[in-house]
Amino acid sequence: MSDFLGDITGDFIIPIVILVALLLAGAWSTWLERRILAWWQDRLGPNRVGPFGLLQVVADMIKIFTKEDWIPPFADKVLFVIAPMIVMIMMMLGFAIIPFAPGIQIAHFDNGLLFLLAISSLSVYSIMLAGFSSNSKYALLGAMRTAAQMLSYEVFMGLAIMGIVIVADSFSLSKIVEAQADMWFIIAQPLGFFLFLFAGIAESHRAPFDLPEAETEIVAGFHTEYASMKFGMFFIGEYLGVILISALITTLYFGGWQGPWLPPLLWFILKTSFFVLFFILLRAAIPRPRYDQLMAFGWYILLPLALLNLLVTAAWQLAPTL
Amino acid sequence: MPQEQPPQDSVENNHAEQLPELFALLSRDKYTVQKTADDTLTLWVTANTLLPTLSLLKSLRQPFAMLFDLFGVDERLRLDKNTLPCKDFTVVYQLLSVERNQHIRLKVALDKDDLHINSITDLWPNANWYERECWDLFGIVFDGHPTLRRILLPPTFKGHPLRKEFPCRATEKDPFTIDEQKLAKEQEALRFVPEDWGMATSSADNDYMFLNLGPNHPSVHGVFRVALQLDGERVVDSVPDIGYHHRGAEKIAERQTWHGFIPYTDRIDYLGGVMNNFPYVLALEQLAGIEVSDRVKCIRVMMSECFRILSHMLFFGTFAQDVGQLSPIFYLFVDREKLFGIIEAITGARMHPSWFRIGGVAQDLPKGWDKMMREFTDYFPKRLDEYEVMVMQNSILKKRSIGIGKYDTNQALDWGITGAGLRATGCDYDLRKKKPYSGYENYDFEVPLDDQGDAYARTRVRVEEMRQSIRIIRQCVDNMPQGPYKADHPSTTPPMNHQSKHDIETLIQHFLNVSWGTVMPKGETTFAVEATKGINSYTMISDGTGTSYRTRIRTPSFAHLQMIPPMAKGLMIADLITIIASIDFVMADVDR
Amino acid sequence: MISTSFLVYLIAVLLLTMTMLLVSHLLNPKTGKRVNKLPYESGIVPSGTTDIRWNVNYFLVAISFVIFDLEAVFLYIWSIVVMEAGWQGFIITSFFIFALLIGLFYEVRQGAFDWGKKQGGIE
Repeated sequence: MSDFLGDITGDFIIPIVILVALLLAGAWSTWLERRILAWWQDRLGPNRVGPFGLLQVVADMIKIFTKEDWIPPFADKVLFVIAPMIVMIMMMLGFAIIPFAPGIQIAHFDNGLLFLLAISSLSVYSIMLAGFSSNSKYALLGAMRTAAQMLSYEVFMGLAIMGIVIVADSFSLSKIVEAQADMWFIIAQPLGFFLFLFAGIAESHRAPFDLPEAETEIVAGFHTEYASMKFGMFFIGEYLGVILISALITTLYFGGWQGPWLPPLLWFILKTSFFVLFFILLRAAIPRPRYDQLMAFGWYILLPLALLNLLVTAAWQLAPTL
Repeated sequence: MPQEQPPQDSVENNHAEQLPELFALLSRDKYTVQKTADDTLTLWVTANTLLPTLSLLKSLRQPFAMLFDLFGVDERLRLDKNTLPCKDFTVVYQLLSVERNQHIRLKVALDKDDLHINSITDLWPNANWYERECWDLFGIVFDGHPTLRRILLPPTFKGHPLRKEFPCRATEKDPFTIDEQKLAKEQEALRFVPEDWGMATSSADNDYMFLNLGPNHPSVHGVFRVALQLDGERVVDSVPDIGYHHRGAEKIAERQTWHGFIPYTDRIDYLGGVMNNFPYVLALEQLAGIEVSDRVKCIRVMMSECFRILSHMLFFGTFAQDVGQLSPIFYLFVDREKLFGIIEAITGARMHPSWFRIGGVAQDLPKGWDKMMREFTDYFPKRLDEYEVMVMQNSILKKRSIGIGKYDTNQALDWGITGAGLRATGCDYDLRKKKPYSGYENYDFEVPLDDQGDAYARTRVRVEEMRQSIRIIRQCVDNMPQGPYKADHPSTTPPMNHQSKHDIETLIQHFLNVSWGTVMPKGETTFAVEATKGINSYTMISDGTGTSYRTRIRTPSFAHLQMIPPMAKGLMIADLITIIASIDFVMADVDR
Repeated sequence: MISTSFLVYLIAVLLLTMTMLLVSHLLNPKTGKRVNKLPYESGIVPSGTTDIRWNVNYFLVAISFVIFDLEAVFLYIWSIVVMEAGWQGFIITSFFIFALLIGLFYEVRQGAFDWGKKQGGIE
């Protein structure tokens, strides 16, 4: 009986709870971003609906659900509808392999990191499809930028993580967390961390690498033609992406749920929130590089550094065997 | 002896010494000199001699390198027509020589049956838009112009509105309506057709994409369209399209009283506030011969410099924002709010005080103004230092703006660039120093220069200008003279009222002045000031009535926007945005 | 290994996204305005379509991605067996990475990531 209950908890309750928690976190991080940005910029931000404006999110949701569900007559309709679904599904699936705390993990894949890379590759599709299926010029420009930017940064995102794999000798995220019991990998892999950070910002196309949707240049980029909940999905997807990247940074480089005194889940949430805040403040602080500068930065500097990091890490690991 | 000769000849002789080449070219029967209130050499030349004269002036040793202004005048209803060698229409060319610090005005009279004149687009590239505007508003055809079509008015417009027979008021016409069909037709007329502008639709390897950047785009600062020919994201060519913000200010000026037009000037460069009143009232004071007190001069300078800071603040913030830096604009808005508070305390309004008057200002300064001003001048420079670190020393921003949209002094003069855009190329031309007005010669300030001429240099110069403006304001606060805030002159509007209870003459004059408006003496003048965005000048023609016969508003932004295509050629969309941001324009200023 | 919990999660995610779209579709007001029939192009009628032969620069990046990501996959495999492959593996991989860098250098020299003028103004 207790086994059965355990199975129910592990197989049904935990995934659903995580899903709901993620959805809420994604929605309320929009509120968080608006408040934090406002605070940073001498403004108030949304503070009217509910205490501290917390219910602003609910109001936004009501609004976004009741907006005209517009599918442009000139668009490729099937792809146009599927694209925002893909982004949300992929971002959600990415969380499946994150070890939130001991025992709180949806899928215990041995090759979790590879799964993650696959997910992140697939999420590029959503944005490209959104841009291409819109048949609108600004969306097309956004899609082209996305394709080039995200593909480029994907290459060394994988290479940067491989440093971790060499040190931890596993693709499994829970094993990687356990391997950090004595020392966080930020100390072993500082260069890898920065590479992953850059790639993470570019992959979640957040400022300053938000070129696919740079509003001062190409209006709204790939989601120019989107309205209603389909736009909302891109919106939530972007915030889920930020949380996912923050969760990954926590897991891979900052010991995941490990920490003294406090419960592991709380440690995980604290560390992840810290990086979410970092992403938000980054947006407030830094201007946007030009498109070719971003590409050059990736290919000329980050890619060779990622390869170098890999070699140095391997040599470091192998050194005792000499 | 100069005194014994008629005034016309003395003007001529005076200039003949400076411009011997010009008077060698023109034989005595080919030109007439006109005396104007601003003492600018004004020559009436024939249509045939125009081109040789202009090319001579442009090729002098100290050339008249800039086509400062070009506009038309419909002379048919002018009351003092017979005193001038004019026909039905006149085209006025005003040139500026930076080296000589001198203007020259050429006028060509045209008959209404033969409204043709040679285009000068080969001499000055910026003549292009000026000639289009002149054709648009007067129907004067410029032979040889590459693209003579509507510029300020929609392509479907009928008629030439600055002609005197064109109704000025909406009530003189049928009510304006627009139905679905008409709307669709108007929209269709705005479609960009690349072939009309001589653009190829594809190269050997790939097709070009034609993209409308604007009129409704986050970073075109108003309603402004740049039609882009794109190869990937590279701008092959571009066509700026203006006129969405046209209000017909010059036409309105022909219906309003002299005094009643002041609020309209505020809205020309809507970030410039009273800076727009400045050239207008100075031109009229020159025309009427009003001498204002030192206090008025000082108040005017102080308020104008406040608006220079306000305008530059907004520029600085939006520049950073367009490059992708989100925060500075908000900080600058907070600071703008502080300064607007002071403006409001002094004038009662914020962005558009319409506060200058012909012969003075609307009110005297309120009690405690100096304390507020001092607080701001102490507070803002420190903040500005912080913003400079935040924006100007940011390496990404530097990479985005250094070397982007670069031009040199000669190109700037060719395109009619003034203000910070000109000074960023190293050309030291600031009217506040070169032709001081309203007592600017009494202030101790520097003119910031840069020699790079790129987007970064233009921004840097403006940031430095804010500091200099603060310096000027401090001097105003420290040395504000005592005296009346309005001149004791019959044309002062509204007039000083202290005598009218005692003396019937003054009462009558006051009554007429207030009910009908003041009457300006016959004459012509141009007054230019160093406005927020460059040189803003008002050319006023009065034929001795209560309204202006012709008001020409020369705005800096109009000339600046014209330069976008050559500046952006071959760069990427993101660079185009940086260039647009660095120009600092306001569409109301362009379209008038 | 695909666990029940993952399947539950996957199905829940799919259901969630579909429900979201469906609810918004059911709640949406229908309006058929003329302006709805045109793609957004700064509020003005567009000229030309998006169906054009596009600049090759973007595709060069895509091709480079294919090349480098495929090579990277070999490195993924190596990184899990670094200890097992030992110094010999390290030397071979170094050579491989060196070859990759030469390839990158070649691409850079060929101008694969050259997007046109870096700076400029009026010639």
